[in-house]
Amino acid sequence: MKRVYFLSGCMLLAAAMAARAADDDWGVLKKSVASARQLPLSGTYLHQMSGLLETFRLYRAGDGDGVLERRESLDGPPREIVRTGGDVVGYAPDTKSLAAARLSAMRLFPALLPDEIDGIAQSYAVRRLTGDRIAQKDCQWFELKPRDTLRYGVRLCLENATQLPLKIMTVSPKSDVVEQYMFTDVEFGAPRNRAVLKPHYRLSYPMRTLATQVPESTAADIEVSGLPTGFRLVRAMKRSLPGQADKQVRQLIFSDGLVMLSLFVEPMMGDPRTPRVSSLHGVISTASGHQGDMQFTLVGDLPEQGMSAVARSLKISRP
Amino acid sequence: MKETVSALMDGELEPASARKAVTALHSDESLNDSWNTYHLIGDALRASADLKVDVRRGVAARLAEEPTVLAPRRWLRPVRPRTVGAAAIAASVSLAAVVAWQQLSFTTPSANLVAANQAVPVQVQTGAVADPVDPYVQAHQEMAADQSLMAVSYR
Repeated sequence: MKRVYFLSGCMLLAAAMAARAADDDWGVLKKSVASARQLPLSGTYLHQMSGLLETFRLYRAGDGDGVLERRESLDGPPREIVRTGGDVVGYAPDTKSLAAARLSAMRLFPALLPDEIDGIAQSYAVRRLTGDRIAQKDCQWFELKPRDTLRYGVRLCLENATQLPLKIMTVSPKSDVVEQYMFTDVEFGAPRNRAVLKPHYRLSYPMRTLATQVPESTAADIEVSGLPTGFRLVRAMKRSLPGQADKQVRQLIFSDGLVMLSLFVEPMMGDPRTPRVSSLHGVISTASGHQGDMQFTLVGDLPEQGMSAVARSLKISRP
Repeated sequence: MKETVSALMDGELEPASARKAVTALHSDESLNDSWNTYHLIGDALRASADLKVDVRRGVAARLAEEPTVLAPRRWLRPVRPRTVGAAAIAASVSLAAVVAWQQLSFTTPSANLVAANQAVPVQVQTGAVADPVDPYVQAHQEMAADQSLMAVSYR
């Protein structure tokens, strides 16, 4: 009997320690979110996706909302992305490069995790892995592992002193690395020469502002169910698509705290579209189909298999 | 005197004369040469297996004349004939670097994932490629880039 008490005591202790370790790990990740956004630095990083490898130089100064950062591509179309607090502007010498800048501004390494990661725990577990060395600095690997097989996992190697992510990998459910970013060199502290924070190119395009001007209407007149657990509606609106001002669609945005999933719903035009799934660089997937007299399009950072599973389980209804 | 040397060789001298002849051989170099030469002739005539050509003195003399070279050895020869080989080595080194980089860039902290990661993601290439200027993708990205959405939903 004593042995049973002892064993169960050990197990409770182990469980408590594991829970505490997980809490610590979430704390470390939160610190890393702040470092990734605000830590002043100068560095060079690689970005690799299927069939693509590019290099950027990144300079950052200031802190809080006063962060000023500029990154420029070292290969491919010349482009710069300048962020002042929450405002992001792309610069390029010609329109073609400006289009490339728009794509590059989608994800601004090392700040790939959302500002608020509290909501992630429902859909992802955090795990501390081995130590490593990147850009001549020691770092610790952490993994955000999805609790189902519909989403990508994320692995981050956080620098030991500052928790700055030195390398971030997006990992598919089959453990394939679909995208990765990595510093090849990084120096902490604001660059001495402030000129490196100023854009050089003539053409500019405002990418985003933290106060988005899209009209907000969270009162959705359709109901959606069948999404993977953890995804919640964060915004619903009626809008026109870029380049199609005359056409109105409903856009519902769902998030699991880490990635976003957009659902576009519109009345069926002509013949029902055949359901299809596609992916852009293996990271963003789209799926389309129809239900009743409505056709829908899903876009999100999910693996293709996950996206097609969502498209199959999705239920759209009018209350 | 050379006759005396010849007689000595043939053992025809009296002990006293023989002793005198040996002393003379030791003191006179030309006699000593003759002694060697006669023995060589004798050996040649008898077709002796011990017949040897005496090169010692010649070699020693030539060696004495040879200047001692104190210059360091040239390790690097003129490069022209080896350029092609060097280029090939450089090419294979850079290939090795590329392969190594590819391997290294896919290494993961978790050992059980290494095997899986050596394969390039397959499901990406088999699927259709979405259009980056697809209006739906653009509309999604406009909103996905807005971090305040995330903050609102979980506060």
